[in-house]
Amino acid sequence: MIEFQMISNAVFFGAVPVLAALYMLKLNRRNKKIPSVYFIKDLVSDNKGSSLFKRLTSNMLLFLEILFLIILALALMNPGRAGQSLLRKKMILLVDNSITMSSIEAGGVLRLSQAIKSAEAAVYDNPNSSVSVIEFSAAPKLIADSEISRSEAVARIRTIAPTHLTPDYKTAVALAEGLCGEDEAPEIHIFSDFCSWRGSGAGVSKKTSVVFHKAGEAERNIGVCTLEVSQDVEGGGSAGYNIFFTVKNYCDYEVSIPASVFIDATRVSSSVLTIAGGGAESKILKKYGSMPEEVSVEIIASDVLDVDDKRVWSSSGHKNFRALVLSGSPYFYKAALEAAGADTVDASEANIPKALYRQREYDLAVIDDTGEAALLDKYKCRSFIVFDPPEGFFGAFSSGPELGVTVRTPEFPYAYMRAVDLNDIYIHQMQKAALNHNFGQIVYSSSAAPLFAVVNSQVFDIFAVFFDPRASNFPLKISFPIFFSNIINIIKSKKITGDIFFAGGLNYFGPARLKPAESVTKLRFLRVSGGPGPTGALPSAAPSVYLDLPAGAAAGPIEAPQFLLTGLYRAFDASAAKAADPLFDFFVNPPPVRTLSVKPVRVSFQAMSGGKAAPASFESSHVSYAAPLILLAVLILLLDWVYQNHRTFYKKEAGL
Amino acid sequence: MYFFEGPGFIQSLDSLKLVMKNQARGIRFGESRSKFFGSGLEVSHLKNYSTGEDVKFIDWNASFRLNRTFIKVFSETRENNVYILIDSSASMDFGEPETKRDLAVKLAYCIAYLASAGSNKIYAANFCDSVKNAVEITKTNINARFKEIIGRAASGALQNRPTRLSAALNSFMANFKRRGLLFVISDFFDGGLSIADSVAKLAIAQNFCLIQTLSGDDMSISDTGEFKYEDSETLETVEISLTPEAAAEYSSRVSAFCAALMAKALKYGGSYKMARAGGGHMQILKEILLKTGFSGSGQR
Repeated sequence: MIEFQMISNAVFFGAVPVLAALYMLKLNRRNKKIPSVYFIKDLVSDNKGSSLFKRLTSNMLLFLEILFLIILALALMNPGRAGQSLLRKKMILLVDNSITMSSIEAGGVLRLSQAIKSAEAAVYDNPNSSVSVIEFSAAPKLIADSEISRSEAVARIRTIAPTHLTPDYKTAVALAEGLCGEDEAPEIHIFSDFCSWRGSGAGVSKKTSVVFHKAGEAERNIGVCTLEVSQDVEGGGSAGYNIFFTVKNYCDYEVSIPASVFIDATRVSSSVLTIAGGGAESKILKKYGSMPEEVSVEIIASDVLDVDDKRVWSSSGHKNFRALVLSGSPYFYKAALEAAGADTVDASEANIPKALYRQREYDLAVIDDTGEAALLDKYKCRSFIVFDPPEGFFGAFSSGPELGVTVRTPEFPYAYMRAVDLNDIYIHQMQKAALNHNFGQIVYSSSAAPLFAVVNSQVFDIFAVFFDPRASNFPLKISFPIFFSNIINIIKSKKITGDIFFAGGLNYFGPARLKPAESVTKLRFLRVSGGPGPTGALPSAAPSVYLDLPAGAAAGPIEAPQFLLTGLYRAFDASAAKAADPLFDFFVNPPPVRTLSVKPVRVSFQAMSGGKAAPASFESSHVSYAAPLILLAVLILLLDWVYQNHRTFYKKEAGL
Repeated sequence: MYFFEGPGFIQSLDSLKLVMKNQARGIRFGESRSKFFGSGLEVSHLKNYSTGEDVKFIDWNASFRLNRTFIKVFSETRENNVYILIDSSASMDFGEPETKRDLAVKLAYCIAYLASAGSNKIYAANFCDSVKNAVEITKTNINARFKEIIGRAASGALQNRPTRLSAALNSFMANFKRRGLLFVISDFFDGGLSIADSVAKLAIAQNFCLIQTLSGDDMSISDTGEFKYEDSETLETVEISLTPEAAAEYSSRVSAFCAALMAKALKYGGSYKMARAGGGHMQILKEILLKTGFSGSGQR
């Protein structure tokens, strides 16, 4: 694209031809008296639109002279083509492959593809320069250094795949500047849509020149930005659930778009949402029955950024956290649990058989009942906090009473003890327990009496507290609800992770997911569908295509690879043949909270802190067209002279 | 020397005669047919003889054929009114070698001369924005009167006034209410081209003939280039770049105006003739007398 360096010249020199034309036309006019100007006036008003052009066409000399002035003015503005130079430079190409680069431009071209094309063109336009290539979204990555050949660099540029992460310009530019050598003329080329450039804080030192290559034109973007499914607990029973979703319109103008809601792969609702420019429309669907396995919302549009066109919520159980307290005096446990974040807390009542509680679904049960602690396997619930367990609890036995127990070490490196301060705890009296291998993450008192421990079980999450809180000051301390909160968070995260995946985030495969893969030691992932970007094997942006499963993986959550693209993924047994059936499918959602604008922004040199002065940078990174334009102007002047003399000669010869 | 004093000018007119077909409305006896019956030469119709009537008017041939006595009724011939209006505005001074004004005066003289030969009542006047100094022309004073008219036009007394045809015709109709035959000799170029609107009103009061005198420059523009045109009457200026296309467009617009004027004149029972200055007045006069349907030619 042609750029002009000296725009200010245009103001002065651009006006010269216009003024000259008008002045010369004025001078040229002959006065004549006629009977009536009525018809002439009529003619002038009809031909007003093209009168200047007609004047010029009837006056060849004037036309040539004005053309000369225009070309001269253009040459003085120093036009040039950006990013093209025959100088020997060190070029560092920064290619943005962040989420907005997944936008689909007119003609179905990915914005990233445009950027890649421009990057390739930049490599070919600078034949004497060395090239390094950095792809960047959330984290920049050097994919080609200046040592490799130019063709290899182009080949690597072509491998850049889109991600669904937000760009970090500052780090990317900092990395690029780090690659700039002292002795060479460094030049950073940024290929991006610069949607979130403003406020990025990217800057370079004064010796570095930067060329901005804007990619993309399309500004339309609509996305599903929220999807929540919550149990409707109105009236105390599980009457149904609510699906809440929001579609945001990032465009500047009103858009109508169809949105469909699918529950367990069945379309239950379709509606057209009309959303004002920059606004959002939310909808709540109330459904009856048990909680669904999976809910998804899809918007249907061919020309929107389709990273956001689908959002999936899936669950293997209730979304609300429900807790049970089984105790002779349950109420202070209940208060602590509620303070810790449990949505529903049921306390046992004396006249209700305990067997009823065992059959109910709870996320956590707090057991302070000697009899019930021995019957944990009868519970439908799988997570427990057991207070003052009886003798024989997972093989633990009592080795006698302890009095006046305190703790010397104030902090313990266990997740369930995070931020729990045991500094001045005092336990009046307790039974000192002797623990076996079934217990782990044990917190000991000063006298080596176990106070807290986790039961190593593949089936249960059990947290044991080996003293009666009523015989201590623990419930009075602020740490008491923190302790509950830690446990609730652990259970919650185990329940949630493995079910909802987000692009670019830390995800876990839950036990339910890995159950079919119990005998598998290694998983292989394929991206099946989900908008732009490669499908099939995971792109280079993903750190790992394979996942090694530890023995007994189905028992707990396993950290998944980082998925950079949204879409439907499929897990296969890596050791099996390629044609083997997939073990399970999962959908990777866009990042949960995001304000995304896909409007491409033109960035000027002034937008960057530091950097060379604009003209100097312009000279090093542009091929100037000023010289050929001046030559053309001289040619036109010559033509004008020849025409004028030829006409005079012709008139003399003809005796005119 | 005035043009009518030139050798052979008057003689050339002797071969022409102005015959007016309209019924004369004059009071005095003349040569034009009128709607009145009485003593004349032309038999209008026959009527039954009544006792006491002059027997010398009995049509004996008809009476013998029909076996009843008929008496001849004669239509009277009376004098006709002829009005000649000559445009004296500045726009009439154009044309090479003969100006539009010269042609207009010549035509007016010829018409007046021919009309006076038929014992009609003739009035001639100059006009710009109103009709003033109308003079009655007779056989004997025609030369003296035209000397006055030419002198008035040449003195420039009227030339500073723009043509206002509509106003001029209104003032004429206010002053000359007796119906007759009106000749308007002008280029009809006024600011608003108001003649087209006045024709309908004019047709009610008079039988009329519009004679449009135009010079070659009026009809077409031969120049191209940058021009600043000044209106000869209003002194208004217009700047234009004249290209061959614009010149052609100008010609077509003038032609369209002339055609519209003729259509309007014919629609309201009048007649129209375009006279090109420098084209020779005799030919134009003959065409006016023949084509416009007022006349025939012949020896007096």
